[in-house]
Amino acid sequence: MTKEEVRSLAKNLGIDLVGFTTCERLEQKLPESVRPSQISEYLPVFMVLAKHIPVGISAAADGSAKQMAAALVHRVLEEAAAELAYGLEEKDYLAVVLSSLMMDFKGRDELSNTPAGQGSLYLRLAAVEAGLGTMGLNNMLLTREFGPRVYLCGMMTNLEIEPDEPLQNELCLGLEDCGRCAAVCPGDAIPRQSRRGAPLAEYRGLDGRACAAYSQPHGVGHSVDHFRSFFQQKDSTTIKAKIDSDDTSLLWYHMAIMRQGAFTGCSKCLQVCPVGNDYESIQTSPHRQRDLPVGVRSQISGENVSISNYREQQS
Amino acid sequence: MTLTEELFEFARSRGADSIGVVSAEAYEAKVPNLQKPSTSAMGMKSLICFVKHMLTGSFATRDVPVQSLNSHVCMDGVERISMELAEWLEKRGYLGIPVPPEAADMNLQRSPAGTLDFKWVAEESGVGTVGLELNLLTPDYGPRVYIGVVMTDAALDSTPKMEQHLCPGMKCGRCAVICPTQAIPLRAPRDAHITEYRNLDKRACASGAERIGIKPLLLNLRKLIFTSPPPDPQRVVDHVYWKEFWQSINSKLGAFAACFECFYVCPPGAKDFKKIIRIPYRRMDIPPGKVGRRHFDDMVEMVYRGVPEERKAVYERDQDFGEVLQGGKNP
Repeated sequence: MTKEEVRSLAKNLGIDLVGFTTCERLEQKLPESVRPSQISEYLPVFMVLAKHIPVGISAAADGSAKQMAAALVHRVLEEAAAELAYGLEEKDYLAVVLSSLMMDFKGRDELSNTPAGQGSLYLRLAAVEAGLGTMGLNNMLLTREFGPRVYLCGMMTNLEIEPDEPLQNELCLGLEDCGRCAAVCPGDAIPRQSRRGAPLAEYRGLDGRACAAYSQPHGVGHSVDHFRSFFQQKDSTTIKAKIDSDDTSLLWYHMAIMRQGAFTGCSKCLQVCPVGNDYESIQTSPHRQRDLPVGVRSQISGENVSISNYREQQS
Repeated sequence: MTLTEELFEFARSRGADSIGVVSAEAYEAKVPNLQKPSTSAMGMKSLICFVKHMLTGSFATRDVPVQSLNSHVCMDGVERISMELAEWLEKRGYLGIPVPPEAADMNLQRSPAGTLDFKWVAEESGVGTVGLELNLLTPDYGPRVYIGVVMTDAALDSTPKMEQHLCPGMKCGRCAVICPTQAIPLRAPRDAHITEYRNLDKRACASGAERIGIKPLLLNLRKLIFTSPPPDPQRVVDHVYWKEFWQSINSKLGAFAACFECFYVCPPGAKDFKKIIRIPYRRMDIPPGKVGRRHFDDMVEMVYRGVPEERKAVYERDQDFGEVLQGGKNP
């Protein structure tokens, strides 16, 4: 099958973007515990699939409905990826679906799924190699078509296919020229300071723990902290109150009902990103217009530039 | 084209690999317990049974969580097809009830059980035959399938049971000699038929295949509460087990389908086994000629091998949690 045939099949299944790279290339780029060779040495092509978040979801008010909608995009993408893999198998190729968010805790943890549950860090790095986009200031994948408003799924296969090439230029405008994701981040998880004129690669990053406090508010990490807190109390009334708390109910709700949504609790950074053809439509939403009503305030101090967090702006 | 033929064509077009029908009355008469159609719904005339295979590419990996994900992806497909078949029947004026493939009822037997035991529905409807390890084996994909059943009040044409059993039993025994928990029979009377000795120690199987499922949770809670002196609660809570437990509820990963050893090595499967056995990981599972047997006057016994050395850690990964629960040494 050609790349065009695979992309056409994927498009019919509702998958928006398909990028191809080789496992050999990724071996040199990824940490050992998440290298493709840990999964298979006999499926040489690595595909990254992306499905965009419908504009309506990005334009909606923040809250559980939006969080659940993000989970549904993940689910629909995973089902479509499976159909694509069965389609490849019908043509006599081998293919296996790689989860976007599920983890082998011996190799990585839930912080690799920050920010916003777009997909694991290794899948985002693979997407860059496969030419789907570039990494933004906050380590999210930005695509030309939808900016960071995509969720990802992976696939390994023995298709005989030439890899796509990474994009040459950064899509992210960086801190000096944009910085909207950093300004709006409620956890202050995204860099707000850099050297003036520095290339993005020098300062982009993410404080995964700070991000997870918002994007995984009742996720796996919080569940451990919550259960631990039962044993840190001496007073039985306090312990009982902790057990009976909303926190316990919400943990169960995120674990059993929200599912992938347990990783998509905050999507502020992806909805303010100006990259992508969908941005203009999203900005017609009154909710989005309230995200950063006065834009981003930056200060230059000597060699450095820094931007204010929206809370600082409000105060 | 008959209604049954139309239904089969639709099921295949939606992703079912093979499909059969058994009359509800005929099946009901054979079931010795409450896992029979009338327990769930009166008036059903036919049981439609179909299978969908797990992606063959899954077996070209050595990563069990990736394989688990792909088994759940397959099961999601089975559930979708079940629903679509029920809707197809309803549009034609019949009732269709998708039977849950993984949900358990606590009142049917002494242990949790499905409302129907799908492997026997599959055998009775001619979709395959039940093998030594009580997996359904199918001609095209051996045991590497997941099963769906839809009950209907439509009187569909029954499909015949398969005349030949697909499992060679003790003449093969590859599933038994590799099973990491020794849940599959390793011995049988000489010249006995597969139907006389096929079996599964479900509790042993569950300790591998449902590693973070309900049974291990109950055992761990029991240890946590009754071990004396009690284990350090901080060490218990801090263990990766709880993260995996969270994930098993969140995604089923580890709760079901956490061991595929018997799938890897089973030779039936006209459409997949030749591809599978060409994969080096799978060739190493049981190298050719390495299944040993001892013959006694009245018995044949397989020589147990277990899983390859490099895979043992997969099944021993919870050992340190057991030590924590027993108040054992610090990791």
